[in-house]
Amino acid sequence: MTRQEILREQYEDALFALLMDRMICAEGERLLEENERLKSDPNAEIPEKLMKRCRKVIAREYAKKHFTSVRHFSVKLFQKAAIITLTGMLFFTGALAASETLRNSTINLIVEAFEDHTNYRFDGLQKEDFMLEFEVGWIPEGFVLKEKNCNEHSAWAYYERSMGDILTIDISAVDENSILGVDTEDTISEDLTIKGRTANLVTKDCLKIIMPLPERKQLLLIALWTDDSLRGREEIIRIAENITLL
Amino acid sequence: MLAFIETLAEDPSDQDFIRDIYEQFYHLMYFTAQKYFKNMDICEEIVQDSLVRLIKQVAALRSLANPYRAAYITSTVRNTAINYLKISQKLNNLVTTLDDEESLELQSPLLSIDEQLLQMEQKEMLVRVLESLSEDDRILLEGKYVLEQSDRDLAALLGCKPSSIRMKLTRARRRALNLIVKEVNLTG
Repeated sequence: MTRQEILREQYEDALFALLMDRMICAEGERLLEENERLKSDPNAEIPEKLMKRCRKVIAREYAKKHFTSVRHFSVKLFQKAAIITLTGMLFFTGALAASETLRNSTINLIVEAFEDHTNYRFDGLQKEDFMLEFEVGWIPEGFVLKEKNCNEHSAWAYYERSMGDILTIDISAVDENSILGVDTEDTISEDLTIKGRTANLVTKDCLKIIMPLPERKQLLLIALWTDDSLRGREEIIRIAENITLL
Repeated sequence: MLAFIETLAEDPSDQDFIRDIYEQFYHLMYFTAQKYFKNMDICEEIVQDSLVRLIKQVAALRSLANPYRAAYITSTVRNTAINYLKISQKLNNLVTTLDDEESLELQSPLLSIDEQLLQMEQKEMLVRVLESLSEDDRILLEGKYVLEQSDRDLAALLGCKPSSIRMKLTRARRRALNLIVKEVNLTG
């Protein structure tokens, strides 16, 4: 290409960028109007089941993203954030009127239920060294292990199967300065007893089993993203029943 | 720490933002997909794929004002639908690929009309011109100037080498500009 040709190409590119920007703005205004028109058109209504599935896709994609990024967070940062949250609680108790703190003196598990999440921490126990390891005795058919790893504070396994289903199993240690927060906003919560332990099954975008292990100062969390929540419920309970803590 | 543990240091606002975008624009997303497919199952798949693409571009999406955002979302759904059509080989006989036009030489119409173009207020005309282009030209121009896709992404969409995107873009721009010149001449 000659210098003249290169300059002309750059010139056309810049001019076209300007034209397209003008066009996009005009088109965007028209599309916003169209969107408003569609919102008020009963024929354009989208079935709720489709809406639900799309919301699940969003949740699932972020679950994948979080899985690859969150575990790289340092625990220090996490602990700092936890302390900030506790300070926030002291100052904003009025704003958190719906919250409640349940203290079980026998097992020293503190569960703080807020509007949008639930915090778990353990209090007053002697520190003992429990291993952060588990064995998975059963997983639903089709799931393939994509990652199994651990660090000083957590051990986890991540599985996928077709249609975008995801299964994650995590066991995390919680010392005095740490809090584990679990998203429980707008969820359906169900109390369960699994192998003699109290657990909570939470249903929202996915199914989660939260099982505190007070004597170990650990929390076992299992999450299953699937479109079939009925079958998913049976599966996640069976997964929990077949996990062996090492 | 795993995904479902919402660490308190994690900013969940991207997910909320995408969910809000979906709640605000799902009518438009389905409406756009339905221009290409009547089957609701396929439309749902296209909307879901589009959401995954939008999640990857959340930073860009956040930076846009609402009209640009609407255009961005619609363009994403349209590109996904066209891609879906191509994958299912339904478009093979309908679209002339730019590879067939490698020898086509187009004269740049710019030097004589640039000022007119930059000052004109006939935005609808630009929309009309873009709509009258071939699917491939539109994918190229929207991909480059609306979605800011890389040559590699555009090449994947069009099934060609990334190195040929620059030339294809030049040709698509000139085709569009020639159409604009015609429109300008027609409207006086």
